[in-house]
Amino acid sequence: MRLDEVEPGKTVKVVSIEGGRGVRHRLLNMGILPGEVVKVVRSAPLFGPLMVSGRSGTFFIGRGMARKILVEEVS
Amino acid sequence: MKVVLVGQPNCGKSTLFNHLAGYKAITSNFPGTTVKFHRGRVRLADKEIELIDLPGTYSLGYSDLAEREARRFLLTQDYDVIVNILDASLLGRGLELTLELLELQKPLVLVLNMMDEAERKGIMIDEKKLSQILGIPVVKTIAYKGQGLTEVIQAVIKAKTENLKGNPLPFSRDVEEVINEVTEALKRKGNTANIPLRFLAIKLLERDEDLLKLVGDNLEEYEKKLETRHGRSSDLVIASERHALAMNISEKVSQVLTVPKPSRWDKMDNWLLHPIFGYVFLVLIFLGVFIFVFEVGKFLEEPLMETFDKGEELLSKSFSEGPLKSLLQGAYQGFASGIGIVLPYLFPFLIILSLLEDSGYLPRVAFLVDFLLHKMGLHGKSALPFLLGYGCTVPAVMSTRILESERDRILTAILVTLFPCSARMIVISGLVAYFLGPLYALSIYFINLLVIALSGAFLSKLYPEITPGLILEVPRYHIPSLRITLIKTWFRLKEFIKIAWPLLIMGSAVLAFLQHVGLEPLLNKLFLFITHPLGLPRELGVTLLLGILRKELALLMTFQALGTKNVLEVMSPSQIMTFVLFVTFYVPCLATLAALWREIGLRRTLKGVAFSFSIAFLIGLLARLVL
Repeated sequence: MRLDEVEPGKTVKVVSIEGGRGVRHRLLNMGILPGEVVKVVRSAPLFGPLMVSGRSGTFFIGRGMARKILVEEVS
Repeated sequence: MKVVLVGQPNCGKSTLFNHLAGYKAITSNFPGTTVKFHRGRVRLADKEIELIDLPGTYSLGYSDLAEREARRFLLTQDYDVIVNILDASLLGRGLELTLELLELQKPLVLVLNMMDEAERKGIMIDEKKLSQILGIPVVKTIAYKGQGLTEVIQAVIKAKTENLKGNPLPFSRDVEEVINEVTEALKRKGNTANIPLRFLAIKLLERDEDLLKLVGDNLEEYEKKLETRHGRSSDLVIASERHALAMNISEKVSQVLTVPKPSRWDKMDNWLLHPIFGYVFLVLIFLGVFIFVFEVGKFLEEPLMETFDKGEELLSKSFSEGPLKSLLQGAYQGFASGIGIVLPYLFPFLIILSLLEDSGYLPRVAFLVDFLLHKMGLHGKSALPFLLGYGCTVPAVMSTRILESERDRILTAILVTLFPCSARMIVISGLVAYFLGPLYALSIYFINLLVIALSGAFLSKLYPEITPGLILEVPRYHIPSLRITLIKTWFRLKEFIKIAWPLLIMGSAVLAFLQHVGLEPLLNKLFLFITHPLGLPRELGVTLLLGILRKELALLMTFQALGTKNVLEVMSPSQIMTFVLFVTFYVPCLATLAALWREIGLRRTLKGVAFSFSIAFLIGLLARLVL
């Protein structure tokens, strides 16, 4: 599953991040890296960004960027 | 002694700086307020300390120009102590930067700021234990209240005199092995620009482009080693190690006593970021701000101008006709319109701007309008420079440094100049809102946004490239403090009083003198190529010239040029709208041109000027035909 497919309110675990170093770097800085658990708090309409919250804070992540983040459900 | 303040965006770095050095740096509740250095001085117990406030940076790698600048400073400049400030309510994340700073092997002080917010979240931090682990002084502060600042200075002096550089903390053993191998390789090679070797080695393994270029060596074999052992790319290996280490320390030294309840403020997002109501609030806030400013401005302007008109009558009676009288009258009018016309609108606007900036609402606008900006080939983060553009274009252009891609930065910088800054807001208020009504003024703002959207779509067709997309930290909501609001407003008002007002007085005097000696028609002739096709009175030519110096001048010189303060006597409503629309879009002011030149280079700046001028001309023509 990809992060942009996660329903708001759900908590997921990051599996991997696709794309080059440039894309990855900012996400890593914001504590979004493999193994971390994040919650999708809400999403904007019309393919707008997601609001994602984790141990390192709360962030807006654009839809295209969220597509590059592979996640799995946590029980 | 030279002290650098380093920290992640929105950790209260500039607030701390202002408390220590006096208000010199604009602070806001969103990232990117500080994109250049601020310098200040503190004198304490015979010691003179020079403080340098660096742009906020998440790590010592960089994703944007502001971060790159912060790192370049740390690696190339000379300084005595680093003060690392972090948001105590996000201790783990903040420590990731601290771990990198430890590698620089300079005297270091860690400041745990926003302790009140951490306490509200039920987080207790044992700063003594943290200090032991890191080997550096750790101080708790609440910067906006001024709490703990003396201790910060004491810790700085201690770190310097005792040379407390701390202990770089080791990663897992196999990663350390590779780091050591790279360090050895670098040692053999020499030429490492005085950058601490271990720091350099780690950054190289993180595939830092700038540093790879500097070393000019291929380190692929080492990267491969990490990659095969960990099954992920080497930059990810290092980032994960650092992240785990920081989180580990954070868990060791802090305790969460209570599970934080979502605060009232968090719940506000349910409304302000709602898929429908979010946009309703956005429009209402936008309209509210301008209607408030127009109404308050008008309320203040009328009595003030009446008073000044009496003064002008007195002046005109007491002097006989002549060049001196023209000069004096011109100067007086410049002086009077500064107080009577500019301040009534500028003051309430700056107050509201400051409140909005500090509330934490503005970054949320990025979330709401992201999808719209994608239609212009940009993304939500560009909304921050755009919103700043309503205040002053110069810092707005500079704040484009927070954008990750160069193309986004250039497009945003050019588009930002089209946003009506507070000086243009005064032209819109003083001519349109005052003479035609607030609704007409709002329609200018609406047309402006529409034109910017179309321009953005057009420019992104010219420079097609996929924008990297939005990643932006969401700051907490925050009730702006009255003191900071007033100081900030005063700080910006001073800009007007010191630079624009004298120009206004001089410009007004010079124009009156030119009129007296009959040179003005000549100047106006030069601008006939604009005024004639747009159907404007030719006397306005010279105001356009002065408007390039400062946009406010376009309005005030209008009165002078037309020889009346009741513009409706000589201009039709359609002419007023045409003129103001033209002034809103045409060539940015000199200060903006200089800022653009610095940020995007001369050639692109000239292109941008040609672009904005063409838009202004087109919109002016359209307005003439339609209205």
